[in-house]
Amino acid sequence: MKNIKRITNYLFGLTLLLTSSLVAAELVIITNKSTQEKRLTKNTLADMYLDKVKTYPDGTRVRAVDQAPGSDARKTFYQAILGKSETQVNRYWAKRRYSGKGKPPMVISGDEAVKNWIANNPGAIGYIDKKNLDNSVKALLTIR
Amino acid sequence: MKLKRWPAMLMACGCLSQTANALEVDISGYATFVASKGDNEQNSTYFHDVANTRHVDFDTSESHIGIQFDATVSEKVDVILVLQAEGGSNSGYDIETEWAYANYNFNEDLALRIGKVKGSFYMVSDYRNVGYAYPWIRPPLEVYSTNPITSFSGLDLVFQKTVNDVNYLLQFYTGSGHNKKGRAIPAAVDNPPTGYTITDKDAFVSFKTHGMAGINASIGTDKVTFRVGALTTKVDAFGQTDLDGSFVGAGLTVDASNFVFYSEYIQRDTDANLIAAFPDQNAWYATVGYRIGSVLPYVTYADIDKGKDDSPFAIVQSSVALGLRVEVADAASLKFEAMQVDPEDSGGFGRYGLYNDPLSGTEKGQVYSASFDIIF
Repeated sequence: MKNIKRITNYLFGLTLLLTSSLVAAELVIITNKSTQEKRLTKNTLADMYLDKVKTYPDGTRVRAVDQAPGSDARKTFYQAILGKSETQVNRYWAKRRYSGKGKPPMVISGDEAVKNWIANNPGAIGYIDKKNLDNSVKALLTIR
Repeated sequence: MKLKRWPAMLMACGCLSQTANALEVDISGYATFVASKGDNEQNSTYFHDVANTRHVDFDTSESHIGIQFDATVSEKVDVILVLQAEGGSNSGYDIETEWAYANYNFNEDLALRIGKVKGSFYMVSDYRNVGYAYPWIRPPLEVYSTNPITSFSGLDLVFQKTVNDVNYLLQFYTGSGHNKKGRAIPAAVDNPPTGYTITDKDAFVSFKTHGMAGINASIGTDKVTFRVGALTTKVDAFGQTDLDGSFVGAGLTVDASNFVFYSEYIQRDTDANLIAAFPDQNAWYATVGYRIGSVLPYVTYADIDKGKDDSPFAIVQSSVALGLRVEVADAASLKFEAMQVDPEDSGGFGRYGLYNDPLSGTEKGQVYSASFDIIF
């Protein structure tokens, strides 16, 4: 009986862990409410994060925000949007940043801080866990 | 004294970046730590301090830490400063300024840099100190030892645009500079021609460059990049002025489906008065690797030969290196390399190649190196 309870607890815990990691993997791309775009293609978004597209069509400067290095959100975003691992993206920036030919996105840790910054800065764009989305920012795209 | 200011500077930057509408200062950096050992019958050191034969050497100028400060002044203007602490017996982790310039963005494609910049002379010249950015422990010296100009003060116009996933880069630069990183040629130190005054093989050749005019252009995708470059400059050295020097090169990199390929060909042509210091040279290398998960094994073949002036002091050698790069974290890698060097006698002085003393007979020298490269 004790063993059955232990197994049940274990399975419950495991389910919770798996569910939470699945939920964490669902990211939403958010931008400042003043951004005119209603949607962005994956390619355009990737180019914004690689410093190849620097402005929106209306001329507003793109201010991309990255989550902390090594974070699940960052790894999921890189894989889904850029099709690259964090190591591959690091190699890309190592060449550009230290030769003065490009600047990686600003790093802000945590969904709340990212959301606050994006809400207060025109042109800002970033990604957070979908469950933390609220109406202070505009959602552009969901990554599952 | 300089070091004591660092915490204050960093604190100031931190405070500033947290204040709304204040100056944004982005701090980043890179570090490379190298240990090497050579092996040959003559106990000859490879390329000045790169690989000593008597012991594993950690104290080489290849180890360094760089910190980059990038202050955003406005949407159009950035100011960048890169300070580097460089290892080795000649400098002992003293801090030097690697880059110091202001960047003005005319629009999102075109920027002008003014100040002290690193020239895009060869394919990885401008990020040569960032070991994390390339597969090798060091870019092949057959090619990369031929340009003694590390940086210059001047103007640099950079055009970059991506159209339909094709990246275009066009860069023009001009300027002048004092340089102290041109290494003496050991064969010329041992057999000095008339007027040659350097007696120390580890000495740097002081020279001044001016009237530099250079171009760097590349076209590529995320997987393949082709690059060409050319530089012409006037050189003042050994009491003579306005000597001509020119460098041209072409290179190709591929990084696709785990296949990695780097190759470059360069030519150095200089005034006849420079044959004992910077003789004409032709050089090339090719690196082929295949990434297996977090491990990249690679092989490099490199070759340097006499150029147009047929100088007896020209470096002539080839080398084969087997290397392994291992990603140990998202922004850190460990590298190991074993290289076999085959120097040749270019002018009857012995088989120097890039060694400080000639190797005997037909012996090939070995160079073993390991490095730890980080970006942060």
